[in-house]
Amino acid sequence: MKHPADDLYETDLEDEDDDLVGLFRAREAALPAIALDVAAVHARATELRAEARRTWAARTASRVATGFRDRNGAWLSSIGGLAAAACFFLSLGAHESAFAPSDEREAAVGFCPETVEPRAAPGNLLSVASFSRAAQETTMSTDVGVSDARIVTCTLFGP
Amino acid sequence: MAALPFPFALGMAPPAETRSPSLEATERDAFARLYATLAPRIHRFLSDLLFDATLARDGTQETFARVLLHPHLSHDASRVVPFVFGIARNVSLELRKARVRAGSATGNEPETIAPPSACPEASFACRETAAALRAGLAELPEERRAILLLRLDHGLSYDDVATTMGVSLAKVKIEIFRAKEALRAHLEASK
Repeated sequence: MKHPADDLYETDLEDEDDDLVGLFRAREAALPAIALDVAAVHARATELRAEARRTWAARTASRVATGFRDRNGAWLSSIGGLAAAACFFLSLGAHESAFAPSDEREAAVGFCPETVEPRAAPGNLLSVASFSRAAQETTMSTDVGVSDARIVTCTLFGP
Repeated sequence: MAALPFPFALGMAPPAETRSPSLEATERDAFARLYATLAPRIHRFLSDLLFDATLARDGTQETFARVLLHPHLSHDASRVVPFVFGIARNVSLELRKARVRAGSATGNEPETIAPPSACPEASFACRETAAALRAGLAELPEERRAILLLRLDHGLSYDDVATTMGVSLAKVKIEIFRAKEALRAHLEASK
């Protein structure tokens, strides 16, 4: 269907000979070449992927844990926690470098950073609450450079 | 259809941007060609939107890093140009917001017009024209400027401009018409 504006501005569809186009072309020809660094782009893309992976893994684990807590009794919360853990580790394991040290600060922090405390209560090895906390801390862990898998392991099983 | 493993069977498959960066050699080549072809144009587009050389460089890198999250698009020449310009526009909006935040925190003027350095020193007329063009562009609202640049400077079709900007075709035509009027008036006045 033809829009009223099509008639009103029809001539603007033929702007190849426009004087303004000529100005833009002249300017483009005079512009200096920019330095192209493909390696920097690849490095930044890797960062973006890692960021998206962490966010997705934490969000997915949290959703699974919350769903089990809301829909099932307390005895099922352990299964919920297990499901969330499996989901989290699968998501990390599906991608390369997920378990690699993120940077040098990690080595200085040690296997279990001081900010993470074991939350596995007796009789409820993988409680939903503890896993939710772990998922939350995972997203925060990027600030200190601690890898996702390590911080969850420390949270669930202790140092 | 094959059964998906847990947790993907729950509809929780990871988004495409989280996938492994192991690109095929052909994909790497395609991306390298795309980058060599489009990076100068994206840099110019961002420079005209942001009026900041450093932000334009950062924005160009960020734009192509995001393009890399969808490597299959490098093969589809008809879709890739509007797609990359669309990402560049979004990146420019993010950078603009960040600059406004930083500017308001430090009290700096968020938008400044860079001196015209595109033309050779010897070509006075060229420099004058480039400066007038840049000043005219700076007077346009951001969206109108982006639409005009996509059409006149980068040669996208009206349909592609509409897709890139997420607006209707009629709006694209109207915005280009008004932008041209304003730009011509500015160029006349600056003569």
